[in-house]
Amino acid sequence: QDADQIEDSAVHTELPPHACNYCGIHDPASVVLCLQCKKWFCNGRGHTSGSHIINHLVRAKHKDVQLHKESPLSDTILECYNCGCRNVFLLGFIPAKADSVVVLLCRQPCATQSSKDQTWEPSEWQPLISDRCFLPWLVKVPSDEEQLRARQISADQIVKLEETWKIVPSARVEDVQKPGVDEEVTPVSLTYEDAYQYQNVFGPLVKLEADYDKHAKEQQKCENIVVRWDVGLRRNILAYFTFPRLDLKLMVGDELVLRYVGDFHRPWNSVGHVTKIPNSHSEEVCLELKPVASAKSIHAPPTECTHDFVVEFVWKSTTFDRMQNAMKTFAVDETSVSGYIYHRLLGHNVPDSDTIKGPLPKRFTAPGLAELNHSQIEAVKTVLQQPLSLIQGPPGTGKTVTSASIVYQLVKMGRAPILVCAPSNIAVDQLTERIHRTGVKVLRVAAKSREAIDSSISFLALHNQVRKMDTYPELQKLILLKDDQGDLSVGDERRFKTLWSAAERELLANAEVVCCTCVGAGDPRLAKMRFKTVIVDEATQATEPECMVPIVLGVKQVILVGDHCQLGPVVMCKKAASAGLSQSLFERLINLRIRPFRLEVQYRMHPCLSEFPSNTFYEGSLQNGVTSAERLNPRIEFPWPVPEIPMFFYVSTGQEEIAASGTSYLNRTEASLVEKVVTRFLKSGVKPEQIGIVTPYEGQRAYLVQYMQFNGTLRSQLYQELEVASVDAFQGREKDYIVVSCVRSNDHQGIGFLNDPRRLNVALTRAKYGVIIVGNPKVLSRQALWYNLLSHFKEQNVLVEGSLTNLKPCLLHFNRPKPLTN
Amino acid sequence: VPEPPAPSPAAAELPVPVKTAKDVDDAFKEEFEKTMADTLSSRRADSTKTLDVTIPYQFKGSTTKKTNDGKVMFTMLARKGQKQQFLNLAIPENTKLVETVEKGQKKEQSE
Ligand SMILES: [Zn+2]
Ligand SMILES: [Zn+2]
Ligand SMILES: [Zn+2]
Repeated sequence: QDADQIEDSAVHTELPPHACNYCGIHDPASVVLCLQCKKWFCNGRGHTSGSHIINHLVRAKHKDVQLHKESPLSDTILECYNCGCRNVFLLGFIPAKADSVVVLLCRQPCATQSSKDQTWEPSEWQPLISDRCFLPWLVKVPSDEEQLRARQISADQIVKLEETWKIVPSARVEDVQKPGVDEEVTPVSLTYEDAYQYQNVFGPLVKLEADYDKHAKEQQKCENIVVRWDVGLRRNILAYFTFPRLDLKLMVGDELVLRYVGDFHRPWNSVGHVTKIPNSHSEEVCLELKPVASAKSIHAPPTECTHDFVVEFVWKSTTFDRMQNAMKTFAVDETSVSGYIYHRLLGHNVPDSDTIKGPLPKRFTAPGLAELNHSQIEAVKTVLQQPLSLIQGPPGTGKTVTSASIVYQLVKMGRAPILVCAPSNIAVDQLTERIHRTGVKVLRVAAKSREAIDSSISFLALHNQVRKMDTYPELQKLILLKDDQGDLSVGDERRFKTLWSAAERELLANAEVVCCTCVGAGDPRLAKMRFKTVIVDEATQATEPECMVPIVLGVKQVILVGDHCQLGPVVMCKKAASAGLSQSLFERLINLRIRPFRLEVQYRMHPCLSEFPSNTFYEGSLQNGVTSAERLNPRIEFPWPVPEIPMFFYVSTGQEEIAASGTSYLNRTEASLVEKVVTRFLKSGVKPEQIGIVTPYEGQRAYLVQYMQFNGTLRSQLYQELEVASVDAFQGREKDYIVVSCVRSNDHQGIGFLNDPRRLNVALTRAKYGVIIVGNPKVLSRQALWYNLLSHFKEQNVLVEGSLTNLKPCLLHFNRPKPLTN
Repeated sequence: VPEPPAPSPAAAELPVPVKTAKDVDDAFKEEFEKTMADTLSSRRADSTKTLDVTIPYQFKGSTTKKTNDGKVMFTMLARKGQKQQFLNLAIPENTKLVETVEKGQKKEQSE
């Protein structure tokens, strides 16, 4: 049923069966099989004074061993040639007197007997085990490098494991290391001894988040749903309905189950994909149902009924499985990343000599893209030569163009195929589009469930490229047949799938650049592929395990692009977040003192708007690539309190309220001020799509949408076209004008969400032409950062109150914040 | 719902024996020596018999061949079930085994 999931489990990277049961080393020349318990062990010592195999034999009181069939001596069982005794503690070699022949004999009695025809030298008997280790020329001792990469098992853990095996022979190291259910999770750290320790820290955190997500999804069952039926372009049945709950985080592409529980039709249910989520046009959700053969089929939806439906969420573990899988691959597969990258990611000190050689391009700007500025050129140049780079792109500094230029240059330098990822589909699409403009061969790989979603780069999507191929006439025929009939015969379907996969493989093999989401890089279709260079855009918005998914596909060069001064990854589970899952890999690498290359020229904001963010978040390093004149719109008449400064803080003292959902806040006074500001903009000729309304609370978002439609003085249609969203939803985007509604206004409590400096940075840096913040300065100024912001506005005479037609400087005096507030 | 019993202060104060990694490792070394000794004492020397292992004719008079990496190629006699097996084994030059054989070969040549 769920092809994705079934295929996914097949590519899970497991250690081979002959891996050392202690440390995981699995070079056939280095391991031996204990014949009593059928477990493999290596001849490396790790952290103990005997090799792993000797540790095991001594502790388990086992004695017989066999070599690996791919070892130099093949699958030989070590035994006395004379009497067949297999006790390795007794065995040793004796040489012939003059021929280059040796033989294994037991020390007693066989090796003490004198040789009949004087061909042997029993006095030269040499034990098999020496220095608590098998003779290294018989069983190879793993190299230091191999041992360093292996799981670092302590003598203590070996004892525990051997004890456990007496009761549970199938137990694994993870089982004796695993913390109890109630135990605290291990927080993330800066450095890790090895990839096993890394996996042992992140594995449980990802599990926590997965459990949280599963629970949250299962809680989201909605009853008494009223459905409006429609038929889609591809003749698929569409179900439209409104959710009674606003707190649901629904995404396009999500899977839902629609179930009929009424009395007017037999029980029915079907899975569908969300193709529309609530927006300011309508609160309706659209679900595209799985196609059915005919309207008479028992699976056909009861379109004659409209009431008594239930919606359930389908939780899929795919995302989390792929992260777990990536960390496992990182731990057990030494080809997953280069040695250099391996150690750098774990925070080890590695000599920095590992630069990538090869002639640099003469021009760094790529065809089809904007001319690069000085700091962008430097970034491209630096990145091309380094195996590991971080690029920090503050708001409006042309991160995407820089990334696309890097990809273009990498292709020209012969480093294709290159894997390009970002955590979100939107970011991947944007980057795909830019890369396509440079003329390199780019392929967008999207989840099967997202194939129906149309976007500007749909034609680059793998499934659409397959449809366009002319090298598979038989496949084209089957595609037409399937489109026409909706279904194929069993034989045709099988043939169709085979040909489709072959076509996909061919396209992937020929692509110079493959673009997908980070999690999408764990797609089974990419499992066999190897990418030496991976670039992750918006890397600061991915959790570390998420970022690892594209990295473990054989990478030798990693380029992370992001901005750790803007919002980080979204982690829902508090416990996992506070243990550090919400820290991105990019951030940890910065903490490891890997210096990011910072893009420094911003092209978005009016210089007045960039001043405070630059000084507060970027040590004043941001330069303006636009002038004030370019960001003043003389045709727009707006009562800015200081005409040359297109920003102000609009003082509101209205109280906050708890929203109907009980989990969010709203503020009616602020909503009415926002409406007045927006109406004024619209009247002066600003189009609705130029305006963004930012508010950190879902309660206020919903209230604002409603309030403006019913109370706005202009046509309600205009207000519907406005985008009202959370700070988080605006990250990575820009608008001409931004209106921020802070919401929080109370005498005793904190300012909640607004406390996060990164959120404030994002809110302040979305606008090109103007920013208006509506809030209560008395409350906000209790927090140091807001105090600074308010002081900045006050100094410029743009902290104002009163009616919009008569704004006056607010003379309110606010106190320096006490450090302990909030 | 009955409250969970409070942990008894006595139990909480019991000293936890601390075993260091070195203790664990020392114990292992001891056990290893014991295993070696026990194994040997379980077998009795029987020097009245003579060892009857013949070198197949094709390996008779085989001279030592050195590899590039400081090893000498040997043939190891083994058995797989009832079948005799001859395996290639590379032994480092500076081992007693190699010295013994090379000394023997020189002696034979000089005779
Ligand atoms: Zn065993
Ligand atoms: Zn081992
Ligand atoms: Zn024997």
